[in-house]
Amino acid sequence: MTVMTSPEGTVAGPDLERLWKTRRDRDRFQWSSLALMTPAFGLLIILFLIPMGYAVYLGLTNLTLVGPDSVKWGFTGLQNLSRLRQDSTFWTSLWVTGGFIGGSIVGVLVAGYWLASLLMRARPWMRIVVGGVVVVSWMMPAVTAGMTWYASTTQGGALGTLIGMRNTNFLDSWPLVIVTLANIWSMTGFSMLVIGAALRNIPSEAIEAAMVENASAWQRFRSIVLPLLRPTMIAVVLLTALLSLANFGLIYIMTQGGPGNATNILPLYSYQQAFSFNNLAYGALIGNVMVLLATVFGVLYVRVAAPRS
Amino acid sequence: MSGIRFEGVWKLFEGSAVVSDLNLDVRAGEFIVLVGPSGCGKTTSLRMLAGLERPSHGRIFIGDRDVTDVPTGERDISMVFQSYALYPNMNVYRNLAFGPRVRKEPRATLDARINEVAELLQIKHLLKRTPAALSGGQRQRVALGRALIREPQVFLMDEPLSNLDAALRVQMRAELIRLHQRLEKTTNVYVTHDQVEALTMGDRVAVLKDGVLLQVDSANDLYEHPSSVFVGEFIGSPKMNILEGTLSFSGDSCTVEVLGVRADVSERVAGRLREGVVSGPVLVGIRPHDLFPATGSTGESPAISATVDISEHTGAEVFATMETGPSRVVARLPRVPTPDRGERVDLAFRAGAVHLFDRDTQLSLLDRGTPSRRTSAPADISQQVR
Repeated sequence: MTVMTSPEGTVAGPDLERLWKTRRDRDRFQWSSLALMTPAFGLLIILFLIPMGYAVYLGLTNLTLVGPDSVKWGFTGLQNLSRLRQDSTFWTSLWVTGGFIGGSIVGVLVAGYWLASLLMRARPWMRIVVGGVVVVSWMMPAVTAGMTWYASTTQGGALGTLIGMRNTNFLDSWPLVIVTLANIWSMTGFSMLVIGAALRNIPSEAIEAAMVENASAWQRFRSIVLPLLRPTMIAVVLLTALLSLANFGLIYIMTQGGPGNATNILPLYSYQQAFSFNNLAYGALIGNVMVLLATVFGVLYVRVAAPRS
Repeated sequence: MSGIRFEGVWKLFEGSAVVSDLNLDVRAGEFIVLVGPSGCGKTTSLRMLAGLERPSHGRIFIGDRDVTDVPTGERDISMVFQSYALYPNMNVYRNLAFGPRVRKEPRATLDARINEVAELLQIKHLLKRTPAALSGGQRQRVALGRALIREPQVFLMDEPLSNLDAALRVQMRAELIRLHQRLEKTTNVYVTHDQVEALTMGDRVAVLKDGVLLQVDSANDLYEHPSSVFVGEFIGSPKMNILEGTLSFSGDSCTVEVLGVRADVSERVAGRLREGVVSGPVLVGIRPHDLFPATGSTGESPAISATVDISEHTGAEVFATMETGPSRVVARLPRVPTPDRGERVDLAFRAGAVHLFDRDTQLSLLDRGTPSRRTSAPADISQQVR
């Protein structure tokens, strides 16, 4: 932007001026760089900002999928918002979403840390095998994971057979618990990898120093391991939250939000409103609520993940 | 006050012995240095003493207490790690306070003690900083302070100076010695690969190689009476010349033939020769300090003609690699005039300072015997430990 000039009072001259410009610590912003960034900005605007703005607008209209309002529709102001406020299904869905995300976060963190710390002590071949299996579960498409979990947790499924309760339909009895478990199962691989990398970065001599000081295993974990893992854990928490919020496929395959509204997380309810009940505008509004939630998590994530100055 | 005792300690890693049959007695209050090239088992020995590794065989005692199976935290030791091992998430104050806190020591006196230690180590102005914001020397001091807070029976240090630059290393070395003099009740075990550090700091020095303890002695004795070729070469810089020679006895006199000359070493070997040594080939050790341009005075070997190959100026002296016949030796040359490459110099060695080793076992053929009559030895040492 600005090129620094030599401070006044020093021997100024064309030579010194030129030398000064070669300094590598000068401000190197150039307006021409904006031109090079235009395509990326353009894509962002066309594919992200405009649709987002349109969705916000749609949420405040009376557009439907079929019927008269699908042709003649218009801005209805805060009407949809007040409907949202009184919609008990929406509030249920919000709670279910919270439970689903909260349970997933706790599960993914605990299971990820547990597996990572076990693998730290494992033999190399074991580390590769277990790591591979867990990563496969993470890479598995939500549809496949959902089908597998559906088959294992319904009546006569693997889970019931294994624990001797063949006639119980677990998915029906504890739907939110089971879908949350399925979500944890599919995301633990990722958290194990990330937490494992962070664990390996903790200097072993610091742990040994604490042992020499007679710190118990719990004290070592509390005072040294946990604080050093904190940034990683926060990143895992926020990413889990974001990915769970978007995990439409898993629940749609397993329960389609049921029974009742027991597993009806916001993305499902939004889809339901828009395409089952044909209330496109209202569905968009629920989608906007999700965007808001995701933005909160996203901002937190960027703040935590960004290098501190 | 407690001493330390290793009794027949072995450590095996995947079938090979990293430490073999270590027997070592450390007196209470002593400063002992374990020294040796990397992989000699010195750090493993220290870690076994700290309780961070378990010996495969043998017992370890601190004072009269068998600590072989005592968890590391209950051994009443402090340890300074090579990497300092500061807790990266805590500031200096909390690093120092961590130990007392986990041991539930009274909080009332904690502040005062931290201040005292911080003052001793001149880190008082750093108490609020995190380790990342400290220089190497400052981190080293904090690590030291953390170990001092405990007022332990035994103070263990694992190459604490190896990550510092040369100037800081010399300064911290002096400070550690001063510290030890202040805390005379504490037994110190110090691991290093640097023989200069070992000689300057240790009351006694234990030399290890390939997991075997070769010799434990004071710096002076180690220098004057190396028990084997390895110790002779490892202690002292530049390292000892080891040459093929022949020992012969005739009547009361004993001569050694080396570098093409025959020198009378009767006085050197008198009363010190190990039993069963007969005439024949031996290894002769001559320190570069004892090999110098011939002056013709008594006690010197006959002149050896040699050519200067490479000379190295070390400040006070010039050491040169010289060629004489088939051998290459390092000798001490005068600083002025500086000898040129290819220049011929007549060398002689001090017959009273030769070391004799068995050709097969590489062990010394000389007992320590009566105290050496050499008068210049301390001067040599002081040059070593510059």
